[in-house]
Amino acid sequence: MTWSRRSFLRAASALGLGALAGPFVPRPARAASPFKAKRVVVVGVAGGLRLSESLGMAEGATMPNLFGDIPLVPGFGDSPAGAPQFAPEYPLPPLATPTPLQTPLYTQGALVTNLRYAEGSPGHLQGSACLVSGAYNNIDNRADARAPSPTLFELYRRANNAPATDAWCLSVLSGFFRALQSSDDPEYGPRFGGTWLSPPAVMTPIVPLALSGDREFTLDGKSPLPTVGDHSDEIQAARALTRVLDGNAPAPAKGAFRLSPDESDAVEEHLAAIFGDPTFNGYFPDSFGIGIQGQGGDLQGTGDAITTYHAERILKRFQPHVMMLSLFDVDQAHADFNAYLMGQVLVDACVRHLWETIQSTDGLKDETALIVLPEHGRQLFFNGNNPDSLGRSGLDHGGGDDGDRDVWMLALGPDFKPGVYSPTGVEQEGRTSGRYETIDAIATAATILGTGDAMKSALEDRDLRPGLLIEDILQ
Amino acid sequence: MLSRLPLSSARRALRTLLALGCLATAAVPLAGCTTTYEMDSFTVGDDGTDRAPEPISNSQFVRGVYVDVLGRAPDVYEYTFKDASGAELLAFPIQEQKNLVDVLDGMGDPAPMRAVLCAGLLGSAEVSLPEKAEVTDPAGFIRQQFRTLLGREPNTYELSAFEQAWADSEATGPRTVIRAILGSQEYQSR
Repeated sequence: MTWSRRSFLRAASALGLGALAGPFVPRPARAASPFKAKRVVVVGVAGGLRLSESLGMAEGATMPNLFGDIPLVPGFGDSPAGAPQFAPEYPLPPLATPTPLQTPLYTQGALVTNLRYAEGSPGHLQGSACLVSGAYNNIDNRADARAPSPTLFELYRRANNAPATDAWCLSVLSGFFRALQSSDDPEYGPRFGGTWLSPPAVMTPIVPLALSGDREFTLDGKSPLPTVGDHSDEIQAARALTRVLDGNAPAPAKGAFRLSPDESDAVEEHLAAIFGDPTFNGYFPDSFGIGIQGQGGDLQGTGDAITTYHAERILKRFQPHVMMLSLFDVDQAHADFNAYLMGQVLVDACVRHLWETIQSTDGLKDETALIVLPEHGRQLFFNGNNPDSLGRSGLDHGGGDDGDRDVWMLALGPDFKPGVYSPTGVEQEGRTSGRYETIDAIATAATILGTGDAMKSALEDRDLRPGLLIEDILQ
Repeated sequence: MLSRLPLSSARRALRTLLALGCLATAAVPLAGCTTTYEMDSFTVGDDGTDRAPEPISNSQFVRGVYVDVLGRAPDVYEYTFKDASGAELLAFPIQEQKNLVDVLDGMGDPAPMRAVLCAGLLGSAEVSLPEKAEVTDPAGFIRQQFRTLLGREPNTYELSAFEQAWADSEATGPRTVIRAILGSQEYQSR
């Protein structure tokens, strides 16, 4: 008898071996993982993206690298959708994106076209919190908010005694998005949280300029741009002495996510390489090739492009087992439908770039699962903001209609069976959609990481409906 | 004496004494006593309970480190890029407090970025630190930094460790000493 991943999981479940993937499993048990992927990256196309503009291509093929140019859901025809339909009067900035792939990425992976964000507020923090925890929720947009149940970061770190640098959460937005780094579960919580970072907030050349002590700089072609001189030997020497001081200090109050000294050193060295780069390319290099072409040929990064670039740097340097990205360019839709289309073009290119980076990096290639999905959709009706000559205007989210809740999921990696899926008849107590849902995408991610049962238990302990493993898409 | 000090000073003094081992040494003669007394538990300070130090906010950190390292509060000014002829190419406002707090707030644990900021500030044109070779009295320099940044003298162990590192490691000099103190829990707590 041959064992596929699906049959292994079914058998393990039937034999009551769910704890095999639980939080206290000794490391050797993980060697029995039926999955080839050792790492999971979840990308939330955050800001909210409707099915009609993405898979339906109702306004042209806005995401050609992921989905090509033939609509992938019924009701939108079966002929090429053509170029994105920007209004003729719209002052579209010159976009920098690569030539679309001849063969879109969905053909390499599993595309679920009828995923349902079934419950919880279709809001940014709530949607993204669902993508890290697998729990529908209505958490408040507050600086002290926490994920509604243990996150993928907490589950993975606790089960594997993994450092914080093995679990990253990157978001375009700063502020209350720090909630995504951990739950407040007493068994998990901040001590197992993910290393949260908002690259657009942090990675700015304002830092060396402000710290330089000068208030002007002469671009004479000879003087190097201001940098922060923070070198490894000095970092290590200072840290050793800081430990002398901290050894006599009481432990700080619990409750906040804190890196250990070693983790902090490692992150500092990563940051130092960026802030010490006299070319300023470390913040966002032209070579990334995705963004808005500025005057003079320089590339201006959008939030999504900057965040994706820094996610790639972190993936290459730390090779974390779990990462979540919350992108955001498409949320311009509230006030500007054409910018919403532009955001789709850019995020499509960013996800492609991310996947190509993963697949061209030793240690990541062929052992990383990439799961891409909108955090939620957008409402079915325009809001009247900034109407264009094609009869379109802004699009909000949050009302909870089908536009807000009908989404999709693209899974790339060695364990996914390529195909386009729209399963129905999916049964679970409390599930009214009859479809796979957003929480299932995250439950599948957790299962690949070996923490599926721990996630399920944590959710059930909180009377939250756990997601299901999406078996249909597995090899 | 401790009860007359402000609470934070009292705790700091107590911790210092503990670190120095003074209290442990003082307890030794009592070991020979055969009489024991039941005493109610007591606490030092005026709030009846001890507390863990609270990390200072990013806003407090930026303001504090500017004052301690640069001797001034964060400023707001226009930063200008000029060409070789002196013509202005670009000017934009820098709000040191807001800009740097925004940067620190973009990280779940700002400690590594705070360390980067400290490194940057110590390299600022506004800061004039002696070269290591110019410091003829390392212990005096170290003591002075403790007094300036922590408001106290280093204890024997701390001074010894810092002096030893100064002597043994090329990388340990004036910048490193200050960075180490700025990076400590004691500096970054209240």
